[in-house]
Amino acid sequence: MSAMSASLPRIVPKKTWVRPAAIGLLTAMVLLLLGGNLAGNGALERSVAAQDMLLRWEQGSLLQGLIDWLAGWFIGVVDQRTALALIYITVAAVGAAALFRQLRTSDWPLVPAVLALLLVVSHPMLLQTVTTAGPEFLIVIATALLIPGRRGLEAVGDAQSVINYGLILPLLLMAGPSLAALIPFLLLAVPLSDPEARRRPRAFLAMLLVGIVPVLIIVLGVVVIAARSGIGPGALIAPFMRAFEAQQSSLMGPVALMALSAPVGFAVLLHALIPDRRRKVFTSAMVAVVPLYLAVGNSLFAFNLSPWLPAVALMAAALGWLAATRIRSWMHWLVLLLLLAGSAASWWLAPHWSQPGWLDGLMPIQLFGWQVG
Amino acid sequence: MQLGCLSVLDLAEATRQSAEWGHGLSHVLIAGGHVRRIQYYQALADVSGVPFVNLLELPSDPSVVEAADRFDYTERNVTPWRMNGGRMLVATTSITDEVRAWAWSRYGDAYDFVITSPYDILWQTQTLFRDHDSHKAREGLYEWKPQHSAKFTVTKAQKVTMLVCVVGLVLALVIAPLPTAIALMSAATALYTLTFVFKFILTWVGASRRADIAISDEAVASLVDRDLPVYTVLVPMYREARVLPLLAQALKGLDYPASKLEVKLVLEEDDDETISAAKELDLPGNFEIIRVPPSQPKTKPKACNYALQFCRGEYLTIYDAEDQPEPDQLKKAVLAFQTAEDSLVCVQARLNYFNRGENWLTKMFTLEYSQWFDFLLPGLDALNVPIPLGGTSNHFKLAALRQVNGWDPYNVTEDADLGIRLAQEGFTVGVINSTTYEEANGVMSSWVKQRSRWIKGYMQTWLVHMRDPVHLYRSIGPVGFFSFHFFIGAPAFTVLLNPILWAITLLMYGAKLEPFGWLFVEPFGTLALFNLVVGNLFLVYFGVVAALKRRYYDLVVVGLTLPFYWVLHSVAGYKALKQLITNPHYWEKTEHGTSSFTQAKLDDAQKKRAT
Repeated sequence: MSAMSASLPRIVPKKTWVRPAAIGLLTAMVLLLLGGNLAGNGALERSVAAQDMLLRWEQGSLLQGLIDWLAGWFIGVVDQRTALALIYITVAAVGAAALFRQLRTSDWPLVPAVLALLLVVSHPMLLQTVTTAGPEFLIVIATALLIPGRRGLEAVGDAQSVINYGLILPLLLMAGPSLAALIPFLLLAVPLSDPEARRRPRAFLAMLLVGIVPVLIIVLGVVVIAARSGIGPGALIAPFMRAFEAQQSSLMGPVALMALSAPVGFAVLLHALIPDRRRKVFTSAMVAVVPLYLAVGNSLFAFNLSPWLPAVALMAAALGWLAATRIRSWMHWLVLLLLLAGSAASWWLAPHWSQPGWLDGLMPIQLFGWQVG
Repeated sequence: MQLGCLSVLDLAEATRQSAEWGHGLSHVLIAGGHVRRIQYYQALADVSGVPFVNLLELPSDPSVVEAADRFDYTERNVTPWRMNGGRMLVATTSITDEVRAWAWSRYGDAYDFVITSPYDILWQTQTLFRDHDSHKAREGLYEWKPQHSAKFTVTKAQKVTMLVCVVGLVLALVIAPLPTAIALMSAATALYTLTFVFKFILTWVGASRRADIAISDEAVASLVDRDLPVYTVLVPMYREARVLPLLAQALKGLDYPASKLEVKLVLEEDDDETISAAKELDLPGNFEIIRVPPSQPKTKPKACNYALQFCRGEYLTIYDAEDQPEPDQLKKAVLAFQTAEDSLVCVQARLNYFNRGENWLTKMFTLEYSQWFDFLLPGLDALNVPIPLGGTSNHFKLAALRQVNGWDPYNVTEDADLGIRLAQEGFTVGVINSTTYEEANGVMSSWVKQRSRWIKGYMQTWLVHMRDPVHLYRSIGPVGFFSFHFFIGAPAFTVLLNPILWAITLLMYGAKLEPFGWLFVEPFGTLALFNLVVGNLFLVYFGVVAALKRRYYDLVVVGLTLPFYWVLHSVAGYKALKQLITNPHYWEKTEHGTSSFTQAKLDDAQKKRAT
């Protein structure tokens, strides 16, 4: 018992991790069964050859390389594909547990919180993102984390939220060039969220420096580790150059898919429009802006993202927002309704957006085909 | 008033304060400087119809004094004086029922009272029990729990263990030099990674606004002066006569009833200069001078232990001579003690510097202190693990402090050690959101001296508590045990290791020599590179972020030069190691009052006094 909390009413500590852990375990089991079935039906053919993780950079995602490198450590116990799937499933399960815990912390009653988790786990786009262990998942994770980080900066503004936000920005860098390009703009949020920094140029520069240092550290770390592997700066910059080469593609399809598959985004916009002391307009705007940026960017440049990625990014951003925002009780039901609508629409539209073979791989149930070890 | 020592207005004011503060009129009159102590007690003697005795001129008969009653003399302000016609003359400052009961329990009906002043009793007790008190100050802890005393830096068992380790290492290097070197480097790499992770967690946890849950101004305002207990303030000083006026000013600025504040200037008996300066300052009546008899080790904890035997407060705190505590600090500490569990026996106020902008060193020092007190200690507090106390502004429950025999006089970071000992005795330590501003050491040589003492003290503390690691583990738990190693042990060790690793790095990368590449087997090679680039830079980042809580934006850019500050740590580390072996109990005195800020404040104080 610390002296600092001494003057406050005593709160009996609860085991707040038990239910979220159970939710996480259940999610992991569902995903394992699904992944096993997909593998059994031969729907997951992606195999990652053991390679230096930095070579992954050339394919656009250092984070992907990092996860492949991590998966490499389990070879011998399980094959690389299974190791990768297990890592993704673990991350997703932890995410589900964290989301559930945050919903409960944000005054969601138990039943709606469980229902929300059920609807999230049943969303086909999220399921596909996790079970195919593709680079999209990393963009989804980075987007989902960015929103609570931004909200912390806007709503709390303490040193911890500055650190959190500062640490999320390198994650965007590692997720790939498409999100990394946003970093210079997102950095401005650090000084702009500090009242003194808005007034005094010196404080503005200091806060900007505090925000950028983690990114610079990771950049330096990448450069040094790359140099050790014989990869020069040219190779490191190449994915950025390639990603921003002009390449026209359709914008309407991905945007329509966003609206249909992730209508929960409308709840965020609605919350931003209703005056409320908890309303954080910039954070709410970011929920929509980041996925829209991905959609627009993908239509203009050679991001080479899957057309459904902006939709799943919007879903992730909205979930990140839900995890960090206390909403009114009637909005709980609205969110549930929108999650249900999004999930139903996504299943209905799945033949149009899902990866080849993924939808077919869901049936028949053929768990035993999944090879472990 | 009849003697012309007190005006009606002063009496009225003191009477009001006495009612408001819930403290005897005598204390208020004396603490407020309305009357001199001796005047008051002479008048009291007249009113009571008993003689007044000046114990300085007519001291007690040593044969009537009982060593077993020594603490009663201090606690109750009473002392047997002389036998007169078969009756004991008991000197006291106030004839109360409590004093009568005490006298009756000793002498039956055969006693009479004389009046004297508390200062006389203090003087008398110091004189009569000089050797006893001095011995207790030095050896109290050692005689109670020798295993917790740094009187002997290492025990026999530790010596044997170290010898076996060194011999084993030498043998391993002779028999299998390459694998041994690889193993050593891997261990060092793992140590750095764990240190980084630990600091990261502490900084992150401590950075939260929730870690700063504060004792609010409203809570402080709700305190009623009448209910406040007597608070002892110890100010150990040695050859610091210059800064005394600042101290007096700062203590007068504390928001606490003066009569309930017992200030003890703890001065070495041979420090004539400071003693004279203190006398000349004409300090209020609630200030007392405790003269510490000369003995070895000549350390601050020994002086504090000596003074501890003369304290009467319910709570006690320590300030350095140049400290500028925030006015509400004592009240916040009282609130913390009154509302927390009984096991909370100490709260640490935050420390920071008032002269941060003076030079590069003071800027670095300020960043370091900001990280330490604003992030790391709240982080430890949030994790419920032992907190090594800072040098000053730690507030104690006096009874608990006496129970653990005060500070270890042989440990040169007695404060950090005390935090660990309190935890081992089942007590807890907290952090309060009040700051004491100190003078940052801006002189390089003085800084190295001070830092070498701190590092030596951390080495001592680690060695002392690792005498029985099983007991330590059981008493502070796994997280506490881990944090003890990575907060107390590892920093002292890594400052020694750093130069070796820097040299290897420079040889590998700077001089383009790669004879050491074989040292780093995977995954330790990647980990070492991670530590070198990402880990070190993140440590710099944490240092920079430390400026945020206090909005010291001017320190953000200069914070990027922290690695040069680490070099100074290593210089001090090697000095500390040398001293740990050759002169473990030597106290490297920190020179105070060197800052131009302090000088300006002193000039200001002098002007105020003159007017």
